[in-house]
Order: sequence, then structure tokens, then C-alpha cells
Amino acid sequence: MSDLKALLERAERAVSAVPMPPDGLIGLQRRRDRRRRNQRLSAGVVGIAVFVSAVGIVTTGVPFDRTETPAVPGGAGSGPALDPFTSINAQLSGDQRVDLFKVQTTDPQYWQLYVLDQFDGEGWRSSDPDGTEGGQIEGGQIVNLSPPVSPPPDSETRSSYAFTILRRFDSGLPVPEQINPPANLIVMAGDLGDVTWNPYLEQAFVDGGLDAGLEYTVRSRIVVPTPEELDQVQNLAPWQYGRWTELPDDLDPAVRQIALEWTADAASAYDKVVAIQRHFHSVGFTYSTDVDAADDADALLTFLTQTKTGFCQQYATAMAVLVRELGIPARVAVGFRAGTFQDDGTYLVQSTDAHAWVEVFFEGYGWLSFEPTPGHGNHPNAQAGTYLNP
Amino acid sequence: MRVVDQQAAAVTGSPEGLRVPLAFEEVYETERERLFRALLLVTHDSAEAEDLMQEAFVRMWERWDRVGTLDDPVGYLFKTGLNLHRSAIRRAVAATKRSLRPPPDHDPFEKVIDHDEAVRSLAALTPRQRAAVVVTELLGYSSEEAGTILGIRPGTVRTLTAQARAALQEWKEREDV
Repeated sequence: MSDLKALLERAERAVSAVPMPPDGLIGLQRRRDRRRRNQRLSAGVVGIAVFVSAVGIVTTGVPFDRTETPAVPGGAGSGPALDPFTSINAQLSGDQRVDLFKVQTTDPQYWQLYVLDQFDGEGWRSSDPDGTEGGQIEGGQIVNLSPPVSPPPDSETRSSYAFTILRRFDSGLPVPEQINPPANLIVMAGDLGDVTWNPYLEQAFVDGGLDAGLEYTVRSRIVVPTPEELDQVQNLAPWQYGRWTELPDDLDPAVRQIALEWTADAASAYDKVVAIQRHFHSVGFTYSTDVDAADDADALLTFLTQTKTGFCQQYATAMAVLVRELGIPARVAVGFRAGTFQDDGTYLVQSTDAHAWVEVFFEGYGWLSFEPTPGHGNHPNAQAGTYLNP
Repeated sequence: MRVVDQQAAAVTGSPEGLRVPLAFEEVYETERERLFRALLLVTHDSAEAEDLMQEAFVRMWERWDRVGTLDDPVGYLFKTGLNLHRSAIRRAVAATKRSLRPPPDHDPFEKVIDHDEAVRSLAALTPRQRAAVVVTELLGYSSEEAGTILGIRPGTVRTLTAQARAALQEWKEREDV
């Protein structure tokens, strides 16, 4: 017997003192169901069936709600509507409003659930749809949240967001659109359970969904630069941003032509992004949820050149692609608008606030939200003179 | 693997050598602990070992209709677990995980490292060297089989094992044990 083998056997005996992780097959089943659900939901063909099931959930008045799935291996179960866009459409076109959560704050934002970082030529997808990439936060009550890239600490004060979940729903954890360190999450009431925080996508997945009555506070710095500040930003070369500027090779060159035409008069990267946003707000584009949510290779060009009608899905999809065509890092964020201000000083967020928007990366400022969807109210940070409203 | 094959054969009363489809649950029960311990030795991190073990089983489960009929489904399982560990993204995420999680009151694995020289000495190896020696010396695969499992050439397996031996010798001299 070699001494290496003897050493390894001793090491193995030693680690046999380490207890096995407890949850066994049950945890495995949960993890598999989550993967399967998301794979099914992101597959185009089955997407139609899922769309129907999402609408089915709306007609019962409980979008985003968790439908019980059989916990047996191979059990079918429709599962909650987790395809971000599918469920947005279902919620926007549903005529029943459902209260989801409320947020106490003096500084309302968009509330982010997921980030979609990959465009496959048809639609935006997440590289981590089932929230398995990231740090597991086990039953933590106070947790630091920090993305790998963020603006340096400066005079900006931290804003506080006290979330109360009003009804059970199964999704990512709603957080403010900007998580800039020092940021943290504090559970005030209820049990958050295990959370997987993906710092690259700034999304937190909660194992088992969110329960009514859960209260947590997120503190983060919100940075709202001026147009002049963003004009000065020198971004790196597109390739240095890796996946954040990637588009499929076989994307129709006409898309790039449109990006160049719309931004022909713009000088800085920021100018170009604003020019695209402005274009969607003006020239013949209209808002409607009554559109065919087709995900095919032509859908993008058809929207940009012919129909020019859609809701946040079409606008966010198109703007993020156009921005990437210019070599500027962009992604799609999915979540909710700020909600409705209530007498008790909170913002009430309902199913009809479901939304998708675009985030663009600027060196020194991190990911900043842009709002391409026309005619649907302003972004809360869009006061005159800010980067959103130059 | 052979052990499981015989069990399955015994259950169904089939003669040895005839392929019997294994139940996933059975492989899970038989291999869970072995995989976890092996990943512990390779990753030196109990949380990551647990995560990799789960992910490897889930991926095998999803493809069970095909994997279950392979000659060596357990090899597939270890291959998946070790490949997941190999990816740079995975390691970055694991590092993030460590920085995100509040330090546990006591991590049983840390305790083992502190108290056991054999485990501590493995830290002197690179993750690739650890993976190579765990698969060959501990799990008993040949260099050829280990090459398939680790996705590298058999020659590289032998090189890594030799490097591991040298590194351990050096560690012993340095620590004077």
C-alpha cells in the first residue's frame, strides 16, 4: 500500500467525523424541481403551455402564487409561473389586482426580482434562472449584500427599505434596484429561510418562496448621477465586459444599423443610451399589453420596424439589445414599479405593477436603470436634471 | 459501480453481468456519503462539498434514463461533481459564498482540519492534484479511468499524482512530522 493511499485513507477516516448534510432526497427534489421548472419555462415550445398556465393562475386571482407541486420524483405539477416575462404579461393583462408587498421608504425605487443577462436572439434569459449560482445565506438575520462592482463610497446617504410581504408568492426576494455597498439585509419578522444571493446578477432566491408576514429591511446607497457626470464616464472596451456586451453572432445586421442610426448624433456612451430611450418615448411607439408575446428570431425587428407596439417586455428587450450593439454593457431587470403611495407612508406593490426595464453599466456608478417603456409614468428617480430626465 | 451492480442484481435476482437498470434512489443512498467525503477532501470546504454533491446528483437525476444504463453511473456522478468544482466560476461563487455567510459557530470540517494532520497535509496540494489522488488512490480508479472522470489525459493524471507525492513529502519535511 502506497503511503499516499494510506494518507488519503486516514484523511477519509478523519472527515467521516464530519456529519452528513441533513436534508437528503427532499432537498434534492426541491433543487431538481426548481431546475426543471425553469428549464421548461425557458424552452420556447413549451412556453405556450406555460403561458396558458400563468393565465390560469391569474383567473384564480393569484398571480405569482405558489401552486402546490407534488413532491414526488417525476411528479408533473404546473409550478408557479417563473418565466419572468410570461408572468409579467399575465399580471399586467389580468384584471384582478393582488396586493403583493409594501415598502416603507422615503426614497422609492423600482423593486428588482431577477436580472436577465443573456440574449439568445429571441429573448432575454438568465444565466442563473434557478438561483443556484451564488452564495447560500443560511437563515441569516443580518446579511451583507454586495455586488462585485460598485461605485466607491461617497457622500451619498444610505436609504432604508422596510419590506412587508402581504401574500405568499414564489419568486426572488424583492430588493431595491440598486444594491451599492455598504448594503445589507436585516430580517425583522418571520423566517426568511435559506437565501441564495448572486452578487453578479444582484438577485436573491429564497428557498421555498416568500411567506405572508415576512418583514425585512434592505439598506443600500442609491446613486442618481447627473447627465454631466455620466458624460464624463470612460467605459472600458466592449470585450472587457465579457458577457455583458455579448450578442448572438447570427443577429440580423439590421438591428445594429438601427442602433447606429438612432444614436448618430450622440457623442458619449450616455448620450447614446438616452437617445435610444428617447426614441422609444417619441417616434410612433405605443404601449399595449395586447400583443402577441412571440419569441422568434424576427420578433425584435418586427417590433422595431413595423408593429412598434408592446409592453415592457418588448421595450426592455429591444433597448437592451440596441445598447449592447453599441458595445455598452446592458441587461434586463425584472420586478415591480415603485407601487402606490398609501396614507400610512408605505408604497403598496400589486400584481399590476410587474415590470421589466433596462440597466446599463457605467464605470464608477455601477448598473443604472433606464426606462424605455412609453406612457406609463416616470421612474421615481426621473426628476428633471437627473440622468433619467436630462 | 460493481458494488451497486451486485446489489441491484441481488434485488431482482438477475444473474451477474446482465445489466439491470438501477434505481436512482438506490445509487443516491449508496454513493451520497462517499461522494460527499471525496468532495470534502478535494474542496476543503464542507458547504461547497454539499453544494457540489447535490448539484451532481440533480444533474444525474435529470439524465437518469440514460445515465442509469451506463456501465459506470457512479463514475458519471463523480465526474459531474468534480467537473463542477473545476469551473472557475464555481470557485468564484464559492469564494463569494464564504464572504457572504456569517461565520458558523463551529464548522465540523474546520475542527477535523485542526486535529488531523492527514487532512491538513492535503491542503498543501493544488485542487487538481487533490482531485487526481482522490480519484485514483482513494476511489481506486486506474489512471485511464481517472482521466475520463476528470476530463484530462491519463498521463496528466500520473503527473498530478507524482506532483502530489512530492508536495506531500516537502510538506512533511517542512512541518517536521
